[in-house]
Amino acid sequence: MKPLLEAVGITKEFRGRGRSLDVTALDGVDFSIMPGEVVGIVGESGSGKSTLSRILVGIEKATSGVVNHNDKAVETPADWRALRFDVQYIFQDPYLSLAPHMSVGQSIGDGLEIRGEGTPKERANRVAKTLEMVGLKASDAQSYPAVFSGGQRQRISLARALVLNPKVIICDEIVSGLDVSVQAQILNLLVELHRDQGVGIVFVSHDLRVVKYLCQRILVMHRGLIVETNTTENLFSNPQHEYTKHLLSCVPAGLSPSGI
Amino acid sequence: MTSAKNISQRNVLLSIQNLTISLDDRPGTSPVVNGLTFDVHEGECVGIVGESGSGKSLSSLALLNMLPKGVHISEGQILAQGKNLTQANEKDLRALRGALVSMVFQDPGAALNPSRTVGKLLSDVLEAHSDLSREAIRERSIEVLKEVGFPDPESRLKSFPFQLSGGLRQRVAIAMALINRPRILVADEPTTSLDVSVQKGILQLIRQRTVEDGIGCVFVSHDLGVIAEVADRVVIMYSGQVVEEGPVASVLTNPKHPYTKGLIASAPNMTSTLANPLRPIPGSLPSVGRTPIGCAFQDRCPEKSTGTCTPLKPTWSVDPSDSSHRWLCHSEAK
Repeated sequence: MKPLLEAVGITKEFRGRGRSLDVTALDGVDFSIMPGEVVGIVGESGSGKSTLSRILVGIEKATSGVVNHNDKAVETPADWRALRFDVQYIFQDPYLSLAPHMSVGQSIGDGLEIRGEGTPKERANRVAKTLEMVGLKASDAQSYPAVFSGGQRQRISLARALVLNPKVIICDEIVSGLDVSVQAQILNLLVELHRDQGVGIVFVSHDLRVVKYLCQRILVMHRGLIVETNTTENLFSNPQHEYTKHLLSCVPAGLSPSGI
Repeated sequence: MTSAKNISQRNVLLSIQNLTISLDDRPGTSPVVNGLTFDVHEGECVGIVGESGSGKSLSSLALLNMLPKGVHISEGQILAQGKNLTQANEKDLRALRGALVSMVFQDPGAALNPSRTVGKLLSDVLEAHSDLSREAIRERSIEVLKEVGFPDPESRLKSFPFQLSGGLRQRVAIAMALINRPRILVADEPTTSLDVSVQKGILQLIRQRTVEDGIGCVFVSHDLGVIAEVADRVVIMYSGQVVEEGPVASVLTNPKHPYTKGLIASAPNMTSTLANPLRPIPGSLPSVGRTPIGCAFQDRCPEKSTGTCTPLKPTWSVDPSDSSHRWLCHSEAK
């Protein structure tokens, strides 16, 4: 099987303005995801995990390196458009990522309209179905983002990505701003999407506990490099790189509850 | 962690009694903090855990009488070494804040004045409460920076906050809080904006200062894993109400209130796997001022229909083997 999405030798430099220094955010990074795979990217702030995920969909342009989609280099604008038919991106802050002046139905249906898929009526039906899939009501399509809570907005963002039937969704810290009880609802929704529809997920997070729960394979990033990659089980039971060991030792262990 | 029995025999530094915080302009709506009561002893760290809207941050601000506009303390009192902070005037409060009671905030980038050096930030706090010579100020500043694990303090006194990493900034903020040797330290999510590896150091620091200096610490967090590392006792809040409290070990390993159970079951930890899925609490938090009368959790409670639930008049149940572990629900007590 060939990777659905692949990045080879990605570097990214940000030019410093004024007195600030140039920053090398990514220093030669390889990444790949197979169809239906759930891959986690973990790292601390400044490790380059968000930059990598943004380069994968072309929100950010790599300084050097190639993104391959279905084994073919993505170069022209048409290539990027084709890539976005398969890959959708979900942002961290659901208060910033939804247009406040568009109804939920308009926001979700927007992508379908841009692609010219179906009649207005068919589009409305798909929107309604997708809303139900993420645990909202079909009638919510008429409401505006302002009336929804953070968790509900993140469901809307998910619906916005899923209505286009992507093969992979890239989630950049999408549960970080949510309360624990709501975070679990969204995580379980991702688990269902993967299990029932085979959607692949790139899950970017600083929280090892969340990544461990959700992902099959994990990349650990540190200062613009991938320092270790392994299956979740092996990474946690037998970490190789010093930085991974250090990171694991810092996770608050908590107390394991009994009897619930 | 020191044993709970040992701690409860020590002096009470901070006593919060029936603290109730209400909205100014909407009489008749439910209070945002409803009857919060707990004691903090010497060398003890009490964690307050809750989700957004639980009232945990407002409670911590109320401890220094720093509530924002729009809310006020409508009932109850806060006794810090016998002084009632709810009755204190602005002048008394100025003398208390930073000296008897200190606070550490969530975001050290926002909490530190960007135009003052580390040395200035520290001497400001020191001069506000004492009349020391420049030499003594410098000595104490270096001493407190060493206490908070700040590397190379002599040469860093001239650094500005923007020249420091997030973890070092939070250490400066903690040094500012500790420089006058307060008896009570209030920390509101002090590690939430920091990376995990930095978080660990800050938690150890707060724990160490609490135990070694005999400070009473109130530590607010949404993260049960963090609370397990830093606190002796924990108070669980939901929508302004305390639903459960007790020693950290008993509350987290043997939770009794349905909300506490739900919170623990929905938080991923290092042992969560897909085979043992997270169990989220259905529904969402009530909006501000719309907390149900009686049990705040009744609309989302999975155990409401079982046992002997009386949602309108919940009563406290107590663990027979440890009377300091109690919860506001008796559906299990039978």
